[in-house]
Amino acid sequence: MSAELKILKQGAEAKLYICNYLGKPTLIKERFKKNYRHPDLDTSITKERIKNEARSIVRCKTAGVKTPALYLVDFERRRIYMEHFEHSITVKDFIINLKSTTNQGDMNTLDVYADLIGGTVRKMHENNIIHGDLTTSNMLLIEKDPSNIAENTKWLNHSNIELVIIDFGLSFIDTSVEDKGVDLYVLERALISTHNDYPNLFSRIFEAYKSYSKKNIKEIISKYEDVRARGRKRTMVG
Amino acid sequence: MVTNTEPYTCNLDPDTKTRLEVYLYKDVKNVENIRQNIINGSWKCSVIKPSLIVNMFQVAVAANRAVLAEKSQTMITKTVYSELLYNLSLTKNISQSLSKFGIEKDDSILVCFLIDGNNDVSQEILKEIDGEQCPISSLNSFTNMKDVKSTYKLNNLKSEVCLLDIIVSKMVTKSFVNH
Repeated sequence: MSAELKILKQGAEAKLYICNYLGKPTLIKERFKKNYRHPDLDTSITKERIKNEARSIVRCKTAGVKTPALYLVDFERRRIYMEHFEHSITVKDFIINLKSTTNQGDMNTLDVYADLIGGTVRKMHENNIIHGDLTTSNMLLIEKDPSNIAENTKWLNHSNIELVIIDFGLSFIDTSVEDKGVDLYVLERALISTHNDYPNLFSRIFEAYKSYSKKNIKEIISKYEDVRARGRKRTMVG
Repeated sequence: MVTNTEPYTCNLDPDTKTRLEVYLYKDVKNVENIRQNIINGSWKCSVIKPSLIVNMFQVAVAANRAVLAEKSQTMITKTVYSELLYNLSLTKNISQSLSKFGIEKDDSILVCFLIDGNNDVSQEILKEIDGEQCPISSLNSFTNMKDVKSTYKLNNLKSEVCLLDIIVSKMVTKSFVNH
């Protein structure tokens, strides 16, 4: 009954494993020790980051944004155990796969997802959740009701698709308009570099973001434009 | 008619080598006696109100944290059985947690055993219960959604998010998130 941990991915901060845990397909995110840090500092930084990530995930759920369910937060083993979506596709791969089939119906589906992304990002921001790493790799499509439709067409059946936001490793809670502007700018840059064959994608997403709610929108737009003019980091010159 | 009265079972964290087994009973006539046996520690099991449980996975998540805390000696309560009840609730108040999820005058009960290899006391305890065993699949007829929603503060929840998903996520973060 010893768990078979299968390594899925290794990043700069953490390793991702998949396994079956408590009878469910589970993703384990393990933040490894950084030997260049003092051990006490390393433990406390890791603990804070784990808390932070888990906090944002739960907060999203309360806000009505779909995120993985949390099964265990384990500070000792430096791990978060969460729901693994076995049958999913990243929005990134979905868009890349679209290229082979350029009919109008598929383009409409992309618009539906762009609107969904815009609304979802807005929902997070209205609840002061800043994702910190909004890219199409951190967005998954899953089926609401599992179907037997073939892999290449099932993701086009948008009425049965839900959007899941993942990887809250860089997320934080903040009320400032500045952080929301930066979050949007990060998304725009990610879209430009990953999906330059769909140049209107960001503006479609941004329109949906704006129309989801009118609250504070003028401030956010103008802040986003400031950020865009100067880049992500505030200049510290002078 | 043959009814399926197999317990719910779930292997907990592999490091603990422990298995959870849960039995559901209704029309229990000796609840006070059961309660006393639990309180004085002579019964090695947790007994829960089924009305606050939407799915057995909810119990598995709480039990899993309890056995891990026992192993790492970081339990908040005195025993792994009370720890299970404590983990089900969102409050850090121990007595409130135990009275909320434990049984009082309820005549339906869930009996949970944490079995690690050789010590399985379940059959000895179960034969002391004067009630009718029910299939785990009938759990939802005991669930009181209104109580679940108020206990887990889900009243102004936007619909689409799955209930079980948010309940377990809140449970496992209660030590550092104010729900």
